Order: sequence, then structure tokens, then C-alpha cells
Amino acid sequence: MSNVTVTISPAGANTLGAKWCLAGVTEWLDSAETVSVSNGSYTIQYKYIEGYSTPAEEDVTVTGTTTKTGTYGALSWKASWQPPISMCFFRGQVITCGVKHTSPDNTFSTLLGNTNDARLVRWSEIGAFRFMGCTANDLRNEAGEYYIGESDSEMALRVIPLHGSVICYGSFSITEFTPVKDPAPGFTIRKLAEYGIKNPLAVDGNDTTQVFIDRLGYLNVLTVTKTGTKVKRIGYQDIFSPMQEVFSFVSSEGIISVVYNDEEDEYYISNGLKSYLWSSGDLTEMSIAFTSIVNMGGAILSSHDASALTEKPISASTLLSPSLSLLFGTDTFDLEMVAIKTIVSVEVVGSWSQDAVTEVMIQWKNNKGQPFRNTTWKRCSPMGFCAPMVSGVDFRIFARVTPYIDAVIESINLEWQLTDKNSIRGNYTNVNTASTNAG
Amino acid sequence: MKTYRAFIKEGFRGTGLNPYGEARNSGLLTEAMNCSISKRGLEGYIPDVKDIFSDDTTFVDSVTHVAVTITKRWPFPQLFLTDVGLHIGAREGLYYLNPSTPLMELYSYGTGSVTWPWTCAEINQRPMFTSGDVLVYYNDISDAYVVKNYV
Repeated sequence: MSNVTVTISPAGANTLGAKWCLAGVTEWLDSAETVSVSNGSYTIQYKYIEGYSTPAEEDVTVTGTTTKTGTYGALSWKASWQPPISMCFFRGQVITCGVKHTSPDNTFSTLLGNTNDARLVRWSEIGAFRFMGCTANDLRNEAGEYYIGESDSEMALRVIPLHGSVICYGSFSITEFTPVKDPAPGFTIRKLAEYGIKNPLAVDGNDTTQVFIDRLGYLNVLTVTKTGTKVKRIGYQDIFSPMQEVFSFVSSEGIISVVYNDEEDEYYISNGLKSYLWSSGDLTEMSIAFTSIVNMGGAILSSHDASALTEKPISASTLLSPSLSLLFGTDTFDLEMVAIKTIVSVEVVGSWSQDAVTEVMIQWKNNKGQPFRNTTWKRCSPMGFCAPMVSGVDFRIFARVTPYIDAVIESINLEWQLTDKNSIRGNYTNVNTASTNAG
Repeated sequence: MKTYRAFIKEGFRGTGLNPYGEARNSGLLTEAMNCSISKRGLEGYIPDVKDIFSDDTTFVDSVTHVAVTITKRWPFPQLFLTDVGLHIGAREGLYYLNPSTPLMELYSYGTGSVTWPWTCAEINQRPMFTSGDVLVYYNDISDAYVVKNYV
């Protein structure tokens, strides 16, 4: 016969009922208890206790007196696990994803060492920050993990709840995790798109809609519909692709951030240098960039500083331009006629405050290969009229109203003449058509 | 010489900037600054948001009462409103803003500086944060927050 003694640490674990046994041979035993068994091979097992990670099973060969130590882990995130890139809370569980690369400036083609944790999604036990392989109770079968994507070039960058599921945005894919109860608590997993995002901030949204800029620079809208979650690629690649072309967390370049303002139901999309507003399916530009938005609902920020009392949302913001003008420019137009035309008057149709100044500038060129040339900004009458007299084949019209407050622009009305004498005789009918159809 | 009239209005009533880049005679816009689009047309608009990191805001450390620098460097600082209050995810580290003190007092989590942006998850009224560089979570065994740095 031989004696086996196992000492369990730390003391806190013993207080909570930590125990050990020889699998299939003894009952649960307290720390430092000794059991007599025949010489031979046994497996030491440890009892799960809440909040601690259970020591791994250990195979021992027993002869004479055998003494072992079992150490319960007091941390709910293993020392060998790196911090995740992103996490969220969803129906009582914490979902984490990703591990950063050592070189965040690269295109994520080189992984850290040989780990594939970069594409790992973990979900905790319900109601606790306890994960599979650490402090989660395996018997509950609630905590789990999943590797998104199909190769180690993938990187899980952001997890964010959407209605009844959690969406994981990877660098090359978008995956939906939908909870299920049967046959055991867990998630069904479905790939929504074969393209992803470039940084964790490139997505935000509410319970039914998320807006994101994909790594190619397209604006996308992900929505919950009756038939499931759908991704719609809207466009604007010419705007957002250059904004994230040179990308680096270290130098703060090319980091597109999508910020949702739930009070106004609108999205602010910025990289710190340019900023856009996505609202009701329309995109416009802003002269201010926000890193995040928090609606305090009138809460007090500081009991001393009355100005810190705020009904407004708060943020960190960057003013990108001192201009407080409403400014717009039209797409190129030729009035559907390749001939020299003269714009004789422009009317900015709308309303603005009495002290506002309305100005118009026209870009023009005489053939498509040329760059546009600009007129000077011409001040309009209080009713929005000006007479620029500009001749060309192609035009763009720009107008600005300063200040922007209370300004509403409904349309641009033009008066123009066909000044290319060679075109007048043969195209007279077409001119009428153009005047009807233009705009 | 005969004068004709033309009207450009599509871009003012919807879509705004052209999703497909420049397109001849689309009637859409190539620029639309400081405005939003409504049924009335292009309306002058800049979101009314209070910047709490403006130059006249001074933050102090809750322990040392020394001024704390919060650098405005994109995409920092970030704000998180949790059940227990307002948190600032800064490049310099993670802070809790104490609302009950006369000054803008910051409690530091001692994370050190980060380069990756912060995200937050809250469980049982315990907010937890991660940035890829550092994880901050509440450990119910030690009844304290644990800071786990990337190594």
C-alpha cells in the first residue's frame, strides 16, 4: 500500500470547497488529506469551484508516499491569453474577439507567432466573466469559442450585438452568432459576407441596423429583416477608400471611425481629417469629427462647473474646418449637349436667415480632357440670384450659404444660352429637350 | 439669343453625395458640407455636441490632484457611458470620471498608454474594457479590477 497526499492552494479556493480525488477510486477529499491505495497509476482530479480555474488532471504513479500540489487559478482571464481586441455584452454573456498583431501597421498578413487566437471569438458563462478553458464550469456548457474565417490571415476585430444575435466583424469576413437553446446553450454561426473591415472602429449601430466601412472603402448597411440579417453595399468607395489607404494605429492614420448618435439616429464617419454624416440613407460632409458620442440625458458632469451641465450629447471632437458655411457642388453636367453654352444666371432656390450671405462659383471646361477652371465666388442677391455669364461645355455649380444655420436649399435653377453657332441650326430641337430634361 | 432654363434638384431631395462617384448629368452632388438632407431640401446642419475635451477643461488625478493630460489624437479620447458612470478611454490610459466632485476628477485604472482603440462590455454593473493592448476586467475572487497587458 502507498499513501497519496494532495495539498490545494490558494487558501481562498479551499474556503470555497476545492477538493481532489483519485479518479474512480476515492471520493472528493480536502486539501492535505491522505489516502492509502495500492501501488499503481492513478489520475488526480480537482473539483470545479466558482470563480477559480480548476487545475488540470494529473497522472501519477504511486509507490510509497506521494505528495502533490494542486493550484487553483484566481484570475478569470488566463495569464497566457492576450487581451482581446474587442468585447461586448449580449444577453448575460461577454463576447470577446481577436488578438492584435505585433505590427498593427501592416495589412494583417503576418500573424503573431504561431497563434491563431487573432480570429478567435470567446463567449462567457451566462452572468459571469468566466470562459471555457479558464474559470467556466464545463458542466454548464455555456461558455464556448469559435474561430472565424478560414485562414490564419483572418483577424476578428469587433463584436457588436444586433437584435437577437452578435455580429463579428473580421478583417476578411462578417459572421453572425445567433443563440440557441437546444440541444445545449450555444450559438448557430453563419457567415454573412466574404469581406470585412480594416479596424475595430469602422462599425457602429443600434439594435436593428449597423453601418460599416469595409476594407475596400465601401459604405455598407447591415439590417435585420423578416428573412434574416442582410448586408447591403451602398457605395462611396471613392470617398472612403482614400481615407483608410494609409493605415496605422501608431501614427493615427487611416483609422475610419463610425459613431452612432442614438438621439438623432445618425452616423458620423470620420478619419480625423475628413468627416461625413450618414442619415436616413443620405451622405453629406461635416466640418467636425467625433471620436464617440455619449448622451448624458441632462446628467451632471461636474457639480462645480455649471457649463458642464449638459442636455447635449458629449464627445471629443475635432474641428476640421473653421468654415461655418453650408457648401455644395453639383455633379458635372453638360445640359445633354456637347456644345459651347453660356450660363447667364443662377438662382439658388431656398431660404436662409436675413443676415446670411449666399455665393455661387462655377467650374467650367471646354472639352472633357481638360481640368475644370473656376470662376471667382460671386455674391447672390438676397433672393439667391446671380449672373455669372460663364461659357463652356461641361459645368459644375457650387454655392455656399454663410452661416449655415436656418439655410435650406431646394434646387438650382439655371438660365443658359447656346453660344456655339455651329450647333444652333442642327440641334435646336435637342436644346429644347435638354432644357426639359436637365437636372 | 434664346434663353433656356434647367433645374438641378435630385441631390437636394435625397442621396446627397453620389454613391458611385462622379457621374455626368446625375443631378446629384459632389460636395455637400455642413448639411443634411430632408424633405425640404439641403438643410444647414452641424450636430450639436458638447466637447468635454476643449482647452478650458482641466482634469485632475483623483489621488494626486495633479492635472491629467488627455491628448486629442485620433481616434482618442473615447467616451463610454456605463451603469456606474462615465469612462474615458484615452491614448494615455483608461479613466473613470467622478461626477460628484467639484473638479473633473479622474480615477486611473493604471493601464498605461495604448495605441489600439478601446471597447467596453458591462456585466453585473461592472464595466470591462479592452483595447488589444490591455484588458481591464473585474475579478470577483479578489473583488478588484485586474489589468492584463499585452506581452
